[in-house]
Amino acid sequence: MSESEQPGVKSVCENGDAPATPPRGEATLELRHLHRFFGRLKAVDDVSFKAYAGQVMGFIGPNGAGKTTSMRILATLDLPTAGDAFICGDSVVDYPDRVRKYLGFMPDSFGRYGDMNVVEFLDFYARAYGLRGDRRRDAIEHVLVFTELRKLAEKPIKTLSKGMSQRLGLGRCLIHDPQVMVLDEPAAGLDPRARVELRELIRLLATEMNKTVLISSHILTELSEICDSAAIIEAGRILAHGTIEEIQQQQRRAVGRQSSRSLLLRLARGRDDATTTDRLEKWLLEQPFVGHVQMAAGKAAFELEGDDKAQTELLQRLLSAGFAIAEFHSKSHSLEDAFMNITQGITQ
Amino acid sequence: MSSDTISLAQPAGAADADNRLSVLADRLTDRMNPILVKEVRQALKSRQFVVTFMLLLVIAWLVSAGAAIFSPNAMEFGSAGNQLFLIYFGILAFAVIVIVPFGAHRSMLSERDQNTFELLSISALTPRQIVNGKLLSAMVQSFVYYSAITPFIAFASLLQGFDLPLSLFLLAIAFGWSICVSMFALMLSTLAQKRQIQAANSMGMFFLLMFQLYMTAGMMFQFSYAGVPFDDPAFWWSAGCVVVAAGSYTLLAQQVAVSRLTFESGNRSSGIRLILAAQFWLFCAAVVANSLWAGLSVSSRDGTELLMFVAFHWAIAGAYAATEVDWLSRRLRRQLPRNPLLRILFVPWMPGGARGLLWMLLHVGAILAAAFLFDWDTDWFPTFVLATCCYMVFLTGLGAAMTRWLRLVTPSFRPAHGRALIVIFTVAISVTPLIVRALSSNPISEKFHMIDLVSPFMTLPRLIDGRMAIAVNDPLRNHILIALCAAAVLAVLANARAIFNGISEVVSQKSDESLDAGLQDIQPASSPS
Ligand SMILES: Nc1ncnc2c1ncn2[C@@H]1O[C@H](COP(=O)(O)OP(=O)(O)O)[C@@H](O)[C@H]1O
Ligand SMILES: [Mg+2]
Repeated sequence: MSESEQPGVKSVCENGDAPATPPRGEATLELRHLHRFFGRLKAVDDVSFKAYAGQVMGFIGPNGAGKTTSMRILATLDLPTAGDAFICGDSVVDYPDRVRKYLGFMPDSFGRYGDMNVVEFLDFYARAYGLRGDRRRDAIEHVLVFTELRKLAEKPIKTLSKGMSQRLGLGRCLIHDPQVMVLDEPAAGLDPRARVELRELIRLLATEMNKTVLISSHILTELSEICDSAAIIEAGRILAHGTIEEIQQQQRRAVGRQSSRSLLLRLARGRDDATTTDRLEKWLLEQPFVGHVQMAAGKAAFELEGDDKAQTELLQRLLSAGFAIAEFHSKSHSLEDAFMNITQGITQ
Repeated sequence: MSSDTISLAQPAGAADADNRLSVLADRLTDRMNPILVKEVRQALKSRQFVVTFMLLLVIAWLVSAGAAIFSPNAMEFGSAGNQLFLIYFGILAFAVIVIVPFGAHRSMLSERDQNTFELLSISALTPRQIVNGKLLSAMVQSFVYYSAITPFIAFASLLQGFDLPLSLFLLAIAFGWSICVSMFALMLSTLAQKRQIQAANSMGMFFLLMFQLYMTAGMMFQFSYAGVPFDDPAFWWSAGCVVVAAGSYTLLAQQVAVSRLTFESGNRSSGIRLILAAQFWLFCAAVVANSLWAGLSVSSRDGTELLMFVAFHWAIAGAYAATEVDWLSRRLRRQLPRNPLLRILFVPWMPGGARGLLWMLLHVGAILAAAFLFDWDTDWFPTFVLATCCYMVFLTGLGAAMTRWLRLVTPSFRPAHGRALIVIFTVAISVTPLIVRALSSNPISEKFHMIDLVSPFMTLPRLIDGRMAIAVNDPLRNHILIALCAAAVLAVLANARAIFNGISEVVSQKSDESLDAGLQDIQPASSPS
């Protein structure tokens, strides 16, 4: 029986033969009640979330959480035990051939035909994706420019550094101009500089090229800067997902401090003697919406119930009350905090 | 983007002529199989290919020089032409039926080894393109070896005793055989998925190739000494049969390789079943055509030999098909035709062990029909065919049922284990009567014991006309047949429910609606892990 495609759902990523760009913000990647069991082990257990065009979504979880398993299903390398996933509206289970056209997948480890050089490597994958003639040449050129591998075009792949090699891997999955990119721990094992550079490239994929990027990592700080949203997974289950703010809010709710923010305050050197510190404490305790005040030499940490407006007003009142404020900032619930709070270090 | 921005071999700043050349090469290769282009590029860079190629040239050179120096007389008057040709041919044969297939085998294994296969499999390349690309690059390599040896053969052709038709015939056979062997080597490389097996696989492959070289080289030298009767139509008839048979097995090997590389929810069965069935019908057609051509009817003696071949074919095909996982992916169900009658026709060809068993049973039914409906020259033949078919059905049916049950018990039980189980079981029942007899008081008694019934190899020969035959009017023969039929029917009944489910899974339209509900049936209940 042929693998031929049947008329089905009209895809948002296709316009006749030519790939079309879906509108920014369109959900082009969706996991719907995805399950994958290996015998008794529930590697992926009812995972659902969406990712949107023009955005980078982080897929964060400790080792063994089920990130790679989920991503392999998205890349049509494995089948779910139950549930489904959709790329540009097409099911990975029913229409893997279509999904493969819209998807660029970068596995966590993959072979690279070490004896080929960079251009030959890209040329081969361009051919494998059915690009011919000028379209192929343009695609290669575009990838070489984007990944800045132009100068290394003639180098054998086995002589590339790890950072360059990862770039080439990223370029490879861009070769057929897919709408959705799934990158499995692309920065693993890179030095900090290469990591920052790769991160920049990935960011560009979403902002400049309007692609949907799903990127996994077990290192949080790495992702918090480039992600618009994130899903946190542990032991196969999604613990939190949404935009970064939403996750932080969820985390705050989780610890029962809804819409309150932690603030830090430091008095200027020389004007932070014990009496001033005492005065500050008393003053803070009198303020509305302020609680959990803790004092240390010249410093105060407290919670403020309210938004940015409440925070500026408080600062103005502090200054007019004659305190010499040197630092005043919120102790943000970073993504990392959120992660540490949400996950509990479950391993299967 | 302007056209001068990039060319493959020579980026910016290269000489203009080179540039144009590489653009031309680019154009030429545009429609070619991407794997072929890649493999040729890699081969040109790889030391292995260059070294073998040079070695071939050097050896051929040494042989020519040696011949010229040591036996100048033979060169002019004797049969040096033919002998020299045979030496060159031997060198060539080693290259194209050992080195090239081994290279193809290694190249497919290394895609898995080096972890590049998955990226290929999610590209737009179909499994068939991948397999064909590897085969084509093997053919290109063979072609290169042929070109290299051509000048030497041209040299041999100038000498006495060179036989042009024979030489061309041998060269053609070697090329065709190189394709077959390469395809089999490729197929075997797709069977091994675990690394440990792969190393053993390569070793086994090499010995297999050497053995095969030994056999074919022997045959070819035989041709060259005994001569080939080119003007005998019977020779061409049998040559045609051999070519068709070899071609069909090459196609089968290709289909197996393609199926192995096909994604789990794709169709891994129908192609193989179609080819196996086509082989069977082609064989039947050839037998009929042959008997028409010779003006003879097929005797029971001939029929017995043909049946052995057919039984072997269906025993293997049945064991293969009936042990598959009973599962029809949602994707394949979507591709079924809407028409319920057409769907019924699809049933035996769709993936799934129960449907595979049904597919085999239908063909066994065709064999039985031929045995009982045609007018044979003896009356023992139809019942002999019946007994043979009963053994096949019994073994396959039992194997399928046991495989299904074991899969429930241990989810990691795979089809390959089921196939091994059938082979082991067949061997076990074949030797059981021998052991029992050896332990009994009268081990070499010619009398038929009921325990002999367990083994097809002890029972079937007794049903043929011969010294130890059980006569057609002997009640024992009827008892044997009844027992065998009962065993076969029981084995089928053990699968009855699965077969029923297998049919309704394809035929019932209701399952179509539940497809859209979504959550079930994506994977077989016991998916490999
Ligand atoms: N093919 C497999 N067979 C059995 N278990 C597997 C297989 N692949 C992954 N697992 C298990 O599934 C869990 C999730 O693995 P994985 O998705 O690789 O995690 P991550 O990528 O988040 O580190 C792990 O416990 C792993 O051991
Ligand atoms: Mg992983």
